[in-house]
Amino acid sequence: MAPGTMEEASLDQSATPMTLAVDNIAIEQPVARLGTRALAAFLDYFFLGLIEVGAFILSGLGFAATGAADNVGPGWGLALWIVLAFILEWGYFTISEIVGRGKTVGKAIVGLRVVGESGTAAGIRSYVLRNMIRLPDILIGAFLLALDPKARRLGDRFAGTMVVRDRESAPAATLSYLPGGWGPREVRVAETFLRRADDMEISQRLVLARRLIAIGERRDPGFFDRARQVTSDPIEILRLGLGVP
Amino acid sequence: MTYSDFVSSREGEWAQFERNLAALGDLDFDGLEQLVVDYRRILLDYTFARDRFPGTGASERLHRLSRTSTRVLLNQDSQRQRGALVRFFAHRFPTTMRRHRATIAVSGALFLIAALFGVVLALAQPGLDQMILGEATIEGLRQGRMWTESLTSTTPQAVSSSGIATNNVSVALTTWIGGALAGSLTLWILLLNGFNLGAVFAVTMQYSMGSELADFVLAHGPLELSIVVVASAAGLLLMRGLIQFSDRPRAQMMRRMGNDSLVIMGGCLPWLVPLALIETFLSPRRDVPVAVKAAVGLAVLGLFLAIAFRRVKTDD
Repeated sequence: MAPGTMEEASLDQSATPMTLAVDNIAIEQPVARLGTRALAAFLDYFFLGLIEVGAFILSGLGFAATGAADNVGPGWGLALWIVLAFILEWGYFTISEIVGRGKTVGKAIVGLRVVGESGTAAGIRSYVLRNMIRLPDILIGAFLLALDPKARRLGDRFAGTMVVRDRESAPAATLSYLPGGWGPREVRVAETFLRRADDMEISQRLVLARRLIAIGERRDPGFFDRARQVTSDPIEILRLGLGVP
Repeated sequence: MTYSDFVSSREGEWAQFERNLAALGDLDFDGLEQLVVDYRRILLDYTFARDRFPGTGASERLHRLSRTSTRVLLNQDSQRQRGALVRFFAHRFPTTMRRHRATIAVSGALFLIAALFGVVLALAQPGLDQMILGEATIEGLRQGRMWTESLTSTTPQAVSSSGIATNNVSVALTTWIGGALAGSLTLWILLLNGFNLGAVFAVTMQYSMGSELADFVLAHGPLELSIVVVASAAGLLLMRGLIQFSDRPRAQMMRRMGNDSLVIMGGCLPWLVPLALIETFLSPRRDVPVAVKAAVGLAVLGLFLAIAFRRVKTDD
């Protein structure tokens, strides 16, 4: 069965939208909401403004310095600028997303990407269509975006695309060894702690590490003994004992 | 199966899949085939981890791997092939135009009705000429001068042609995407253009300058007006996608009409570039006979219609 989408039956906007991959396997999609989309758009328009001003100044200086405009004929400098401004105005978002495979400068900074509605890569047609239908979205896009579970504006709906969060995050810690009696809840707590430990204040980090060791040895005494023979640092004991690289 | 058993038994394959995915461009055919097989396994591991071990590191890792690999390995559109541009103009564009000829006809009819209304109103309302063309232009007409003369006498031809081309493309694009506002902007531009055309012709006829206007527009006017009509039809397709009753889901209708309207615009927009050159370098010339301009105008229009509405043979 070809990849498709699964329509949200619930009105719960906080539910993560799902898409169907091959064999109808549902994948949660972290769609980008109005705030991050607006921030990315602001950055893009700011960057576009800088490009237009820079291009105007550079082209003017270039033609003045080289005298090219006089050589090729009157008005050619201005003619080229008219065409360039048109391409920038209508083509910046489209060309950026095609070249960046779904990312513009603003989207890359904020950590967003345009994908197809089923989570696949969007095609060139989709990039062109969603960006051509940008003018009407200035009027109603935010409204539609806020109401849609997949946070799609009008251009996204016509093009069959959506915008997802795509920032590379630190690899999730995975435990290879578990003390007896540990279930998914304990695993989640330990993995989350080990991933965020470096960002914690040191005393808090040590307290939590010792607490986790105590919880592990409550049902499996001596589980961390081998790790204690290697190091005395509670966090390293936790890593070694649980088999986290 | 415990979490640690699951991770220790499968982690090696996840790491290998990540490496292969990162080196996608370097894989041979066997490597690609294996990647596709592993992709399905990754998806199954993801569903298992999501159900049995939700929120764990393995579940998050498999979730990210599933999303990334789906995006990298699957594309929404079919892959580009050689000769795609030729096939577009030879097959896709005319097929789409013929499929939506009723909508194009409606657009043309609305344009003509608006033009007729413009003619009638210009003849019936004496003060309308100044409202449409302005006092300076009307004064020029009284003195036997067309406002089109200043377009080329004061502006370098390079600037004129680029300005005309970009302006025409902008108007065509705005007319098209205005259909996404339930057709409101599309219809406004279509009817306004029709009305202006009719009114301007009526006004210039009143000042006995109709032949001069015809002399200016004959070379580029037929095709330019046709593209305005077709761009409006593309906008009406977007409108249909939004509001037309159908047994298909609304999302599917919007995507289908969006794709069809994009094909129509993709086939029409390139014509605006040579059109701008004609409007700049041929239309203003008084030394070129009207018959030549009319022949050029009809020739480019005929060529456009021949390509746009070509009957395409389909394989049974």
